[in-house]
Amino acid sequence: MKKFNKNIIVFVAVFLFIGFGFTSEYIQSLKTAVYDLIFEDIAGGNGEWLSNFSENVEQIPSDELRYHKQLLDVDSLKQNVLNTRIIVKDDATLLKTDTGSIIWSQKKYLSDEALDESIERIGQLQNFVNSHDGEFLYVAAPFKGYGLSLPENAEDYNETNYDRMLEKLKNANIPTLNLAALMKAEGLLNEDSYFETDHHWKPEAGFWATGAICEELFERYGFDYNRDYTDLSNFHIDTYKEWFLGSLGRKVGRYYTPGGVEDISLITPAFETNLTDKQPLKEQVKEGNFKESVLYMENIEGMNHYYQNPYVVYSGGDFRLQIIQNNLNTEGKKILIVRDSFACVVTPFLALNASEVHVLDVRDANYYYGDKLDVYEYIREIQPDYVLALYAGASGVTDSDGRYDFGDLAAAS
Amino acid sequence: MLFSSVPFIYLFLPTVLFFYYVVFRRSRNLQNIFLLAASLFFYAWGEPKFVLVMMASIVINWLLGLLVSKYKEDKVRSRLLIGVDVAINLGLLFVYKYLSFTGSIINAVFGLDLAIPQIALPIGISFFTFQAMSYVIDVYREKGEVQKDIMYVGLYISFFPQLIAGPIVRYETVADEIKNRKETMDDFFDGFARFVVGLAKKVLLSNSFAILADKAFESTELSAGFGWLGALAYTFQIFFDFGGYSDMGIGLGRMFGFHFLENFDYPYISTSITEFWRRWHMSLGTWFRDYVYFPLGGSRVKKGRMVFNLFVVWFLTGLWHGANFTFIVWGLMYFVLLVMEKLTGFNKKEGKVLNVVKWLYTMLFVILGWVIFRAESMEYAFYYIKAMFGLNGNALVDGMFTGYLKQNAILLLFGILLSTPIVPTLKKKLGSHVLWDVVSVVGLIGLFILSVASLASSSYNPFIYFNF
Repeated sequence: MKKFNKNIIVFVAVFLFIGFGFTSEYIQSLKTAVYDLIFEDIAGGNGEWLSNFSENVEQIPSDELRYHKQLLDVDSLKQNVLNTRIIVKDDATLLKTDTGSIIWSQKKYLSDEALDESIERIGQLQNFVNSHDGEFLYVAAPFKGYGLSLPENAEDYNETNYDRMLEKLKNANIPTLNLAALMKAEGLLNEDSYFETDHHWKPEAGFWATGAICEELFERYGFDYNRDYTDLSNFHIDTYKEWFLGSLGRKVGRYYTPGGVEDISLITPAFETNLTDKQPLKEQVKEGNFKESVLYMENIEGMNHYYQNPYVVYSGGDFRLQIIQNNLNTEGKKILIVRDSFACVVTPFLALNASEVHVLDVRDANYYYGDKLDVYEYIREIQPDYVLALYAGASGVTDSDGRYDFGDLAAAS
Repeated sequence: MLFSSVPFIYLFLPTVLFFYYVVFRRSRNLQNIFLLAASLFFYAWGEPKFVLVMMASIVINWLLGLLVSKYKEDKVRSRLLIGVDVAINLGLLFVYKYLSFTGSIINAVFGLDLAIPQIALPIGISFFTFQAMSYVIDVYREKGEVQKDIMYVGLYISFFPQLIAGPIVRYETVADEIKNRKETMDDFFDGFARFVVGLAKKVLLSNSFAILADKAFESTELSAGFGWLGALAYTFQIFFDFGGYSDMGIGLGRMFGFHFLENFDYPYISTSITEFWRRWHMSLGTWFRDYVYFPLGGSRVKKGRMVFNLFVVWFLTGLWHGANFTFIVWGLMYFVLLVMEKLTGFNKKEGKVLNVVKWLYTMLFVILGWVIFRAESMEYAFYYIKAMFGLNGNALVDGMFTGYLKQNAILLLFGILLSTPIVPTLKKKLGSHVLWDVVSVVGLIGLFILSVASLASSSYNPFIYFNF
């Protein structure tokens, strides 16, 4: 009797696996590509019909396959077993530190010219703020990776770019809060301050940074703030265990880091609060206590590692304009903060010590609702007491994320 | 379209199998027409305009094949037709692959400033022009029946499993199978298993080695240790990339009832350069042997003529790989070594210790050869080789070396083991055990899932033989 060919099992298993991978989204994307091919390109006499079709099909993302996330997890396990510490993706190079935390490699050494351009922009903003009776502070947060133990073959200019930028800010006499130096002095510049699988710092670090900002504003400008509101012992901390797979973990899979999915803290005041959180461009208003207003609980309720971002339970995420009013401190200071996403875990706590915190995000990306606002125009309009620019890491002006596009200075002057 | 891609695995292959084995199962003619159409579609997917070049090649070679067959009794006329066929095929190759290179040499040598056209290279042109020539020459040599139906010539030249990266299939190998093949269950399922193995070699091994190799070859401050590590990584990258692609091509061919010859036979266990070239890219080596070396007289001539014949073959072998002096130097390096072996008989001497020495000598030159092959220019090749031997003033070892070595230790171990015939050896010893069957089934399924996982995570997926 002929021996049974075991490769039949392989073939059947593989093709069942392939078949199971098709989701309605994937099939719909295919149908769209075929529809465009027949009814748009061929019917329209477009000579590029085949290259258009192949491009459309090639661009159907593999994350429309049913088990895409599970495939990422399988790949992450493989990378972990092989001790891979540098993962090259289409859009990023990720590094694993000695303790297993993932960081986003900053592969570009910023030239002096690039940094000088940034300093010039920041200096212009500072001068404008001062000329409108406000005070300015640049808050430099260390991007994850600064001071951490990287693989010896890693290419990362995070630390050197940051240090050089801080030196230039100092030389330009721009009021700056160097959080890296402060964190280092307080023994906080380590992996514990950052998520393992995300590029952001933890809420605890953001909370601490808020206190540091308040203290700096106090020392420089006599900012009167309630130190109880920057003391963590006056807050409840609810820990969501194994709840959070960060931005970098979602790129590589759940099993790449030793801890896998990680905990995230929800820090809420143990004292009375009453705030109003507005997003004028969306005509959205939330009012109530801290949790009801500045926390966006839908981002943390119902655990979903790949499709949820619990980090943005704080502030809700990145918006062109967000205004937080403290209804229990109507006589306090008005603060404008131009920021990146490291401020998500800062602005809610900062609002406890201000009457209003206005948040502007001028970075370039396609996920924002609405166009970026002109910071200069906005300053003229609201006349803030303090203007903060809070950014992680260092960046040039060109070939960057647009963080220093503060607007049309000439028009505003 | 790459074999190692989601569109091929999830869309193209299942669709082709369905139409071939279900829709057209009752008609061999329709099956062949479909395969031809699918192959042209496969090629046009990545090269919509160049599919016309390939179709023109099919038409021309079909016509010349008919003429050669018609005039086969007239030696003068038939040889003239062969000459025309070779000239057209090589002319096509010259225009697309070597015109710019030639123009730049003329400008450099004669101090001219001729406008050099930048012509895009059709994928796989080196493979399908050689296959096309093989058809006409084999018809002339009566090693295969002339095909009156252009469809069969088209299918032979353009068949997608071997179209863009080989193996170079000789017409005589598949002439009968084009019309009279018998698909069997064993061929189908074993072919599929072979495809999975090839996919794993390419995606899991070659792509991983590529990251390390690319890092080394873009370095401008190369330590000796990192230089060797990078060279070793490229040695594995090119083997598992090309060997993996050959496995996939051979496996896919079997699924449709075609039996292509093997292309790689564990070349890195060779104990001489002569042996290496009997194990590496065998389809190319035998093509040059049968269509260039033997017609020139081979080794059955005076020593001086033999050396000349070898020079021609290895110059052309190098040149075939690319329009750059690096490839020519790489080919001529092998010419020198092969002549040395032929004249001294060194490769034929045996002995336990001597075999180790011979293996080390072989691998040394193979690795150095790959450095030249990989380098963008001879200048960089010299820089790299000097670095490997600590002659460029850089450190012997550095963080790049220690870091990449630690992070790739397991991968390197796999690379070394799988470069040897360990799997067929184990299969011979254990193949009759049920446990072997279980392990191989689970292993193959696991390899497929791991490969798809790697592709789905948008990991690095280069393909280095794509532009040959």
